[in-house]
Amino acid sequence: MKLHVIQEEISEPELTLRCRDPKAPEIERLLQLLRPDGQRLPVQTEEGRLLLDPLELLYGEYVGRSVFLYTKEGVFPTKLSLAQLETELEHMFRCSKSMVVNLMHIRHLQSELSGRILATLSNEERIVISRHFAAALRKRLAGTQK
Amino acid sequence: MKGFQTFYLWGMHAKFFMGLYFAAMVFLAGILVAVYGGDSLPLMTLLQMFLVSIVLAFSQVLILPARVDFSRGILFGRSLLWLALATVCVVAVALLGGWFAGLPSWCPWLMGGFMLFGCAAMLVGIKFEQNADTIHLNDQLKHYQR
Repeated sequence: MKLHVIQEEISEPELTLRCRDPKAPEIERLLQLLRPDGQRLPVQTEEGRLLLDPLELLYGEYVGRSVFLYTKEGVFPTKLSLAQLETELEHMFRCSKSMVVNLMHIRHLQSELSGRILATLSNEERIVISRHFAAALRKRLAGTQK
Repeated sequence: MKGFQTFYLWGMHAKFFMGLYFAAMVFLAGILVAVYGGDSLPLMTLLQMFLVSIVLAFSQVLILPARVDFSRGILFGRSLLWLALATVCVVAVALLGGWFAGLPSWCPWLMGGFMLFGCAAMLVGIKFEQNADTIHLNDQLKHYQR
């Protein structure tokens, strides 16, 4: 990747990213770093407050009146609700009453008996999506395919 | 209430297969009777076929329930068990109930073979459908993640 810094007389800094594929993973990461902190997920750790990159989020789960965010690095409690995760983050999908999953971290889907779907995540964890939510998942995936 | 609901849904799932098996038995028995000049099936025979179809359907839903994880090949063993039980049940009741009285002695065995083939074909069909659905789901997932 080439990096150019050009000094010009303009009113505010302007950043232009030229690339062949805007959806490439490294471009997405750069955009995430450049986005304001509002796009990141605030979580509390033993070391203090941490802003989590939504791209790293595998899934969120509601357990014992709290929501926990699961990444490959660990599990983090958050004050955000599942509904907020579902509506505010782009790729989150409600796969059960107590869980939202990041569709970008699903490695494989397996059709099961009785209309259920078994999802294998990028960390090899498996989630069973019931028939009710499986229908919604099919709609969501079909909506992106022309 | 929840227990009743679960039982009711379980019964609904079984009823579909029950109707299928009853229709298959009546069909084959009717063909054989017609070939040998008959034009009716005794009421007792129909009632016995109805009861056998209930046993087949309920045993299928018990031995091959939708909510069990069959990922370790358990499905194949359970399928064989159910097929064997179904065949033995059909042949035994056909012999004891005299479904084919006055007809050649191989008729009950043909009925058993027909049901065995039909049930096996149905399970294979379900498997084929699942495989095709899995491929379709993963194609859609790849498209979504692009």
